Parts: sequence; structure tokens; C-alpha cells
Amino acid sequence: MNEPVAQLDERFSDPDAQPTPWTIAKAELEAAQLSWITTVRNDGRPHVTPLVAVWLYETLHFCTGPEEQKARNLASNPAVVVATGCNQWDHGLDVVVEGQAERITDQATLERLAAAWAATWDGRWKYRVTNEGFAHPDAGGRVLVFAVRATKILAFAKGAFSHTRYLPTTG
Amino acid sequence: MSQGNGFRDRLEPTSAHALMLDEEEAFAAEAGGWLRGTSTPTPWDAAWQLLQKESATYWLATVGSNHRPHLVPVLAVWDNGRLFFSAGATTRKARNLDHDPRCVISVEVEQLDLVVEGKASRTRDTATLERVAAVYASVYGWHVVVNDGLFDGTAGAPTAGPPPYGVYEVTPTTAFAFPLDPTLTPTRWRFASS
Repeated sequence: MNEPVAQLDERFSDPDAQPTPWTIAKAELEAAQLSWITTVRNDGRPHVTPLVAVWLYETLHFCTGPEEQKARNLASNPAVVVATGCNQWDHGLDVVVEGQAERITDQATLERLAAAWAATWDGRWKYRVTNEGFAHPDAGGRVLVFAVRATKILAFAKGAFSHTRYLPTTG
Repeated sequence: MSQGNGFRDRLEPTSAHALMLDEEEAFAAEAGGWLRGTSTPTPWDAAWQLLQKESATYWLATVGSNHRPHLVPVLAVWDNGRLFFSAGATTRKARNLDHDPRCVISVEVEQLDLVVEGKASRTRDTATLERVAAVYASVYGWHVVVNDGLFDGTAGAPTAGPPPYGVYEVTPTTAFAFPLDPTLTPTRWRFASS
């Protein structure tokens, strides 16, 4: 999301709160070690699982094996929420990205994403780029890569509590 | 995520239910990479007891009538192994739960990521609400007054919107723990339906 409009929601904020600047929320997404992804199962229930997401090209990306529950869910309903933040309730920032999951198959983008994943954690997330996404370098299992086309991003600041909404400026 | 399955099932309490095979495979795949250990499954009591005295940001996932998922941070508490959270009636999470009570609560603490799938139901029982209010006060320092089946009499919880708040209990159907310690085993608990 490029320089979105930031709006404070006063109902969910301290009286003197200011909106969290987009650069701060973006930094949280760039630095995230662990995220939660929520998708919708075929029977309508939500499904939540932890994963490692990567922020690149102003967009959040994630990957999944095609047999995993979230991949099955996305095949029939691409609506997705990915959240990250701080597990303390009284300080830090939680950021929630709502949007649609779209497959990434462009080779140049996949190469950049594979490098970004390899740079997270201790370097354990190593993927080989294929025509359809990633593959595990050893076992060779297929991995699908998705971008989240954000329709809305929310930031929940804690300590000085505030709730900021970012909406795309274009599109 | 990498290959491999260290997932151990545990039925708590005794359950006659079995998950569909395709789900088991999917969960096994998702567990790969998080844990490689082969120790015995963690008892459910150990998981919630680990959490009950800790303040933490919990995530509540619901689905709206438009079939879109919704995920927000909430303050949740445990009372004797039962999981509660509160929500203002006009919030999207509350409106989604009116439409469909099936939800997921997840939390990351130092030792593990815990995911609880279940159904949220409004509790209006005064004795229960008083106990839950006492836990909120001790864990988060959030003081409420129980009034007519709701939490009220507060200046408002941080980011919770204006009072009053309905109180929900999550009745788990399935729970998952993904421990960060690689010597521990990821665990799935299935709960007997009541």
C-alpha cells in the first residue's frame, strides 16, 4: 500500500490519541517475525494459523503448501486477514492487513521474495523458485506464493491506545 | 514450511469425534517446521494454566455475513480453564458472532502459539461475570461493574469502544499448540461436544 490515508477511529482510541503514522505501521510489517493468517473454511468457519510473512514491494506476501488448510480455503475464498504485532497488551503495536490473496508466479518477483524469506529468522526459510511459485530445496514439495492485495490496514497502538485505519489512495 | 510431522493428538476430554483425514493431513503439513520434537503431548491443563495469569494480546477471528474473515486483538481471560472475552454490541466482531458464533482465538506467549477453535456464546450469569470481572482486574488492571448481564461502569477498555460490553465464553472444539521450544511437540486437542 503506497502512502495511504491514515484515519484515527476515536471510538477505539484514547481521548488525546493521534493516528499512528503509516511509516510506523509499515516498519512493524517489515520487521515481523511471526504473523497470524485467517482464512475461511468451506464450511464458513474461520481458520487461523501462525506463519512467516514477508513485506516487499509495499505488499505483504505469504506462502503455503497446496495441501495445507489455508491453501484449500483460499482456493474457494481468497478473502484473507494477516496480522502481526507484539504479544504484550500494554505496549507495542498490532497491525492487521485485510484483503484478497492473489497468486504470484512472476519469476522476477519470486526471486526477490525467495531472497527476502531467506533473510528472515535464522535463514531456515530457503525456497527454490519454480514456474508456479516456490519449492523446498531438499524435499522439493510445492509451495504456492501469495500477495495480499490490501483493501484496509489497521494499526492498534497499545500503551497510548489508538486505532488507526489506512485505506489505499488509489484503485 | 519444511516437511515432517511431529504432530501429536490428544483427546481432551474423551471424544468420539475424529477429524476428517484431509484435515489431519493439512494440519500435519502446517505443523512441519514449527516443531521437530518427539516428546509426549502437552496436557490441555498445562497449556491454559500457562496462560491464565499472563496478560497478553489475544486475536479473535470471526467471519462476517459477507464471508470475509475478521481478525482483531482482544483482551481475553481464563477462569478455571474457561476462556472469556468481551465485546461491545456494535463492534464488527460482535455483529459477526451474532451471525455465526464459530470463532478462533489465538495467542502468542513466550513458550508457544496457541490456537483455540470453538463457538462463542454470550454469558449473562451474574456469578460467572463477577468471577470474570475479577480476573480482568487482576490480569489487566481493568475494572468493570457487572450490570444486567453486561460489563459496565468503566471509562472504557483500551480500544474496546464505549461500554457496555457483552461477555462471551469460547467453548473449544479443537485447539492447537505450536511450541517455540523445538524439544516440545506440537499438539492438537479435540474436545468432546457437549
